[in-house]
Amino acid sequence: MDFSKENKISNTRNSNTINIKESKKRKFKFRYILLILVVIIAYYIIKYNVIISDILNPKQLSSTISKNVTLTNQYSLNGELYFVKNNNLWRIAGVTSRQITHTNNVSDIAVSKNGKKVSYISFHTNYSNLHQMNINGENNIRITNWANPNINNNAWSATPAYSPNGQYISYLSNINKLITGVPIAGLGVWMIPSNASFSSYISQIYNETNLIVPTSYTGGDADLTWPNNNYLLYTYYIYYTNTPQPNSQIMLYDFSTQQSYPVTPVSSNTMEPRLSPNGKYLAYTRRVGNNNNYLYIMDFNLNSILNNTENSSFNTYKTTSQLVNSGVNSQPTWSPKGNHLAFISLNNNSFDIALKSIKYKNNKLVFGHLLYLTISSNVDSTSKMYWL
Amino acid sequence: MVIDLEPQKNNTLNRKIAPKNVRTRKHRKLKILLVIIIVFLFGGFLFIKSGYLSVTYDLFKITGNKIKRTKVEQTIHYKYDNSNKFTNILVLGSDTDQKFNPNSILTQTIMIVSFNPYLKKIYMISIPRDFWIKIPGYTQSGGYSKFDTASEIGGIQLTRQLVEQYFGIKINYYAWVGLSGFVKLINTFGGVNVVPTHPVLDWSYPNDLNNNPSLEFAAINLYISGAPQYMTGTRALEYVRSRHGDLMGDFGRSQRQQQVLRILKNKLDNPSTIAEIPSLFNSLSSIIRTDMTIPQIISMSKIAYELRNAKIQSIILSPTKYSSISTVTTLINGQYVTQDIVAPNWTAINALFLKLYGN
Repeated sequence: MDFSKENKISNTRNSNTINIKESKKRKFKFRYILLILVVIIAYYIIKYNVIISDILNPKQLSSTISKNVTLTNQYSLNGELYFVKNNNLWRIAGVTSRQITHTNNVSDIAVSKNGKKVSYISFHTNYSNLHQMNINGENNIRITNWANPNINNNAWSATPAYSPNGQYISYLSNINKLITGVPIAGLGVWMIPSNASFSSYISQIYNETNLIVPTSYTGGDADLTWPNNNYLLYTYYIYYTNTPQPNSQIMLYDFSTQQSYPVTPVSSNTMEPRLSPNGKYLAYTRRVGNNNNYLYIMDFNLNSILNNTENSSFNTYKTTSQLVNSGVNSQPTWSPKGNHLAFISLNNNSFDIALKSIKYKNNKLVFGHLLYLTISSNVDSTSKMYWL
Repeated sequence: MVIDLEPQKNNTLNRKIAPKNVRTRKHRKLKILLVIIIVFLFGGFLFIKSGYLSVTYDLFKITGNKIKRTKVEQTIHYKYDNSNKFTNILVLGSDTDQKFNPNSILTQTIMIVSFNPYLKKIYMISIPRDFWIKIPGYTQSGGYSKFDTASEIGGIQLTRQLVEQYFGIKINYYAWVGLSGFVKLINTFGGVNVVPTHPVLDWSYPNDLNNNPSLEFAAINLYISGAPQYMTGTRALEYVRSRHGDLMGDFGRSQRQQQVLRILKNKLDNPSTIAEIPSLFNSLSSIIRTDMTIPQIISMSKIAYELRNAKIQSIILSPTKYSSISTVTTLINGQYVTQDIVAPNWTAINALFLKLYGN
């Protein structure tokens, strides 16, 4: 035997085996690298596809306005609550909601005390009109017609309120500009018989009564309510101090003296007055800081207001209790018995209907926990609500 | 078998193995090259197919629009030592959607937004567009004109230079937005929920949105309720732009502009918004411009989040403290023209800036 030869053969065999092994190893390595590459590519495809699709279809940061009213069922509502969503009249009763109109032109509702009639505003480009219909949405009648091809002859109507007996509607309008020809006046308070119907806009003006003339260049008055036969409550917008700052205060218009009296101080930024059913408390909102609106309740003393003692001391204003002290809240609405206050509150980027119970205990107002009646429903926060 | 394993054959085998190894190596290289080519081709296909290229282009169109500093700007002595500790952004708003031309723009809104995350301070200072100042290069009216003339004749460069010269602070960045830009910006942020300062009643609101030439001088009646409300981009634009029904006119709308800007800042406070910035910016490609880059904007958004509880100091250089409303009659193109202007009270303004940006 030639061992050296055999050794050589054996070495060659070994080297051959090593080469094959190395080759296999390299193949394995290559496949491994390829696999890693594929995984990396897949990862980036998925990652960038998500980013790219995000970029190509930018997300809106808030959800689109839903068509429905979603109830939380945290509370079964006694009575009926009327409100506006997407320019239609809605109602919540018990634990169900129902859309009453489908005309998409209903804003700024007022419901008559007997619950049979609804007056509302239909907004258009350049003008808006006062309408009236039955509570079920039938028998719709337009009361004013402030449309005109010449924009200088158009006018606005807003925020109607029924008289307690339902025979009159007071509402806000700048129709004064059609009489005086001066456009700077804001919305003032007007009154019209509720059975009036549209004839022509010029003759219509002279059938109406101008109760309150607003301060010019303020946008006018707002938030009209007619709690009883003797007076109206409304928000009066002004500019206050030497370096004028926009401000607002709550005013009372007395029919007997035909004068307005301050209910809250001139620089209080208060608005949206709503008198409790027993006439003892006034719920209102107050603009706080850059973009907040809190909810309050104060004692209401008519004599004190009419005797003008409020003007200097505002004693009843000092009795104020804070109901909600954060966020954006509007349209306080008393329950028929006065033991709850519903209001519209901004919650998770949606205006929803919220609720607080109210008790009078040991000479103090006691408020319950905040409950939400609706969720993600985007109700109209500029229109009043009515709880019958 | 043994024969098969003869050295000669083995030699051949050895010889054969060597070139095979070389070939395998070559193959391997080829394969890797092929994989790289496939990756690039596929990636490139994906890149183009997805529109990422145009998106990136759009993002670059909005951002990084650097405007060269003038020689004068380079020699400006900033009066207030602390001004360089703030990031100062010049915010310009136009009532035009015409193609952005950095050399000549119409500005209705001129605002300085300054912030310092360490001092936890944010300032918003609105400069009235009718501020009566001397403008270099302006040959009429003895060289004097309203502040917005600067942007008209010298674009962003001259506006930036004059803000730096008159107010003594360095402007680090600018941001410009047009009408539809503002609308789209608000819509992109999902609208805004606003507690209006008062109802808005305007009998002559310009109906010129969307670049319709036939509507250039058209006007509409406008009414916005004073109640808290959700505003779409169009409604928010009406709210911040209307001035006829406002006793404070231009100053009143400056106040409303600052209010909406604060609401937007609060939206940026949300960390999820920061992640959305690239996609948000894509929808704004043709309607806003800035010299900030996307990473700078993202880092500023993070600062905005850090400063979410900081009190914002809103200042409008309005009468009677910082200016006064006046009338001037000057010679323009050979004719005497009378204009309503806002005369700056530089003593009060300098004192204010010393307080804000001084030591």
